[in-house]
Amino acid sequence: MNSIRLAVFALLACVAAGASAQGGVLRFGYSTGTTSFDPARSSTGGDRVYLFPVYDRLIRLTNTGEPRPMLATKWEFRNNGKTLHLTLQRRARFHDGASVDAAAVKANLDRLMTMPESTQKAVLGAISSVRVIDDATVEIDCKIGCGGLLQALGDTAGMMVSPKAFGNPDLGRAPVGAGPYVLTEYRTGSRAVYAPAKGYYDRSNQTLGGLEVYVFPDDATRLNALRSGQLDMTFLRPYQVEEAKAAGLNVGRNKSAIWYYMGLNMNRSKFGDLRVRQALNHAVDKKKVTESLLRGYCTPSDQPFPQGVLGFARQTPQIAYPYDLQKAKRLLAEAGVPDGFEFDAMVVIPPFFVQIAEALQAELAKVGVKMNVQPAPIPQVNSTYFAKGGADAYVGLNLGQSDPSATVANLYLKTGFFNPSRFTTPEIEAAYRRTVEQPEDAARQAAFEEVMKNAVANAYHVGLCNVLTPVAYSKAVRNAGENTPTWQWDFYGIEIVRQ
Amino acid sequence: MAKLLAQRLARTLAILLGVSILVFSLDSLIPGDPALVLAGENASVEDIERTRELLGLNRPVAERYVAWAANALRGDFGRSLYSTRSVGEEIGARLPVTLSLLVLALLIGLAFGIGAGIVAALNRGKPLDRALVLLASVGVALPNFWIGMLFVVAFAIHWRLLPATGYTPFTENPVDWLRHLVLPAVALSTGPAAELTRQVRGSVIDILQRDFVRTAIAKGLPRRMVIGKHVLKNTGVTVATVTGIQMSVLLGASVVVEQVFGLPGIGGLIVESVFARDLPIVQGIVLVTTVLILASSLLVDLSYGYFNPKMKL
Repeated sequence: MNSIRLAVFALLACVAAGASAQGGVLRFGYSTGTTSFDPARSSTGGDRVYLFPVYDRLIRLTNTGEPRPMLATKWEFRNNGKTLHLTLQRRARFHDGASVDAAAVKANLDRLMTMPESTQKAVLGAISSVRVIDDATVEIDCKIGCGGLLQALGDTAGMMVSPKAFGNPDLGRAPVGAGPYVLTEYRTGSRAVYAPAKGYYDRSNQTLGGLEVYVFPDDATRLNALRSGQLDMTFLRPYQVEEAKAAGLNVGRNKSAIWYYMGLNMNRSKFGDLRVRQALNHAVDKKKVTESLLRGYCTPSDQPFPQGVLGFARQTPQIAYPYDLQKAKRLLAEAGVPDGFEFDAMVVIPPFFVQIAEALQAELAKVGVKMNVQPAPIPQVNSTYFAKGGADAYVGLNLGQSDPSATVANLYLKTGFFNPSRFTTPEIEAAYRRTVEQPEDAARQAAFEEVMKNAVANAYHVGLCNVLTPVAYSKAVRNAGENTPTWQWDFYGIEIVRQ
Repeated sequence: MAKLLAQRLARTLAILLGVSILVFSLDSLIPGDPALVLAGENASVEDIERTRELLGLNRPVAERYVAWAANALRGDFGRSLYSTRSVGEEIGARLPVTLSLLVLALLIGLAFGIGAGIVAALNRGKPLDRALVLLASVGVALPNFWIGMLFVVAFAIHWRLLPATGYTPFTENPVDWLRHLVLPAVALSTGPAAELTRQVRGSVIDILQRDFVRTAIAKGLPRRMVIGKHVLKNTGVTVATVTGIQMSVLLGASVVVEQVFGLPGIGGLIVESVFARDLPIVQGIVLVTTVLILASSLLVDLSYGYFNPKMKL
């Protein structure tokens, strides 16, 4: 009798485990479609929400950028940090049945590094060669050091595509990965639908019965869809938080890699003078601007990295330039512009950023500096301000990279795309190099301290704040806490339980 | 008729040529380089230049236009710079959504506008007439998207009767298709309905005072027959004209209504494509919408012959 009871309980437990492992379908609202389902052609980080369900990466990154096992179960830096030794998961399979083995990893990395139209070349620029040691072991050799490579392999560059699919002409719309879900439908501008992949090796990463990502560019439309029960989860703008809470939705405050700031072109206007740049920093009450406009969903900061992640300089004050109108005026007078001056600032559309620009405009007016706000679409800003350095300043955001070294390179090195001044210092260059040479986080962090100390001291920008993304979700969503990374929308561990 | 059609076809081709040159020229004048976005966020200067070369963006504008036009004559309108899908595929995926919305909105507008216009005219000076005229004025004044947002709050969020967003293809589920389109179509129809109410009212009032109508009434024909057969047909030219004008208004208004209701139509596509400088898509949509407007204009002209034999072509 006891053995029968035991058998029944065991059976029930199995059924329950099976039921909870295959939960409800998550319906997520997002603002744009994907540029491509082929990681080699994906041109923006916004594609991650579409790619992550289908493609496992070699490494998984947590919300604070820490590496965790995924297709690579173990890793080790060798050869003074110039070689990364990876041990692969033996149970992983691509959706077409092929094994995710060392040959597939090498094929993928080679493809990303050599394909003419690959958008991941620069991300993997540190790699000199990839070697297959055996079926489950790969070694990656780096030119000067493998610092940041784990973070790169935790992002788009680490996504593994089945080599059999490389030649598929529709790979950009019909992905073949090794992720927890397979894409079953994609309607451009409308939605992407995913179903659980059979035989996926990690049940803890396959907690949903399916995933549907709906495209709603308009912020109000997305919230309306959530309020009316058509969605389970979406991100909000700060001004929508109260409305969402009033509608009975849960709202989380999730860390992101986004930094709001005003870029200053040191080759134009008066920005070649450090005192002017510092004066502008002192003239802006960053705490007031973030609290009033962003309702506390942005932490005032002169650094692009949020607190608690690799890259954030603990030894440099987060607000290195406290609000001080007198000091701002004194610095302007020392720089020879006691009555202020005028400059033009390009601002990315949508209207939200124009509001931020207007708030900065009002702050700067207190010290006699007149800022002309010029809204423009992103391609125009990229071309005019960043590529050609043809505007005085820029108000907008930096999305950040999974590897903080890449963020540093983009913002503070001469060749950095987001550095139109083409300005750097020997100290920043040397410290950056150390972040790439050193693979271990502790050594890299010491180098980042040096980078940020110098970058902030040189007042490249008027920093504003690190964004905390409000995420709203219905009562059916479980485990979507503040650990859900919002710069990569990894739905790891999230469940849907409908009453 | 054949002569008219031939003339219209020639005119259409000439307009399409002019429009396509205009779009190409405008795009080259506006700053912004899609290669910067397409090359990726970490691209080097060399990567960006390579991307520009791969896409042919470094060729002179005139050369690019001639190449595009030559392919267009063969039915190949190029590929989206971003999705790499053909322009035909991209537009083909979205056009049914916009057409569904436009047709439904037009039908609702026609039904309400004609009905309300006739009722108002037949009750001229009475409270019902005044109420309908006031309603029409409000309908003309209020923006469609604002009405749409009110509908969403009331019918989708508060009462949960209809969905707030999204679209289901007719072939997939006709009932769901209609459920998703009711609110946006009614919101979009307020403009044409209001305009038609006013115009039909005026036209019916005018026709009711004509001699042939008085004669028909004097001869003892039932009022219903007088209105239905004699008055309505003579109002047809007015209805056709207003409908033709409203088509282009609807097309423009549908862009915003699609955003409010999250409909994946060509309105959203053209907004994204303009901001992203995806010229092939912009060019394709402009050509498609030009053809739609010209076709509706032709249908209006042909309908005149039915409503008024003196105007038969």
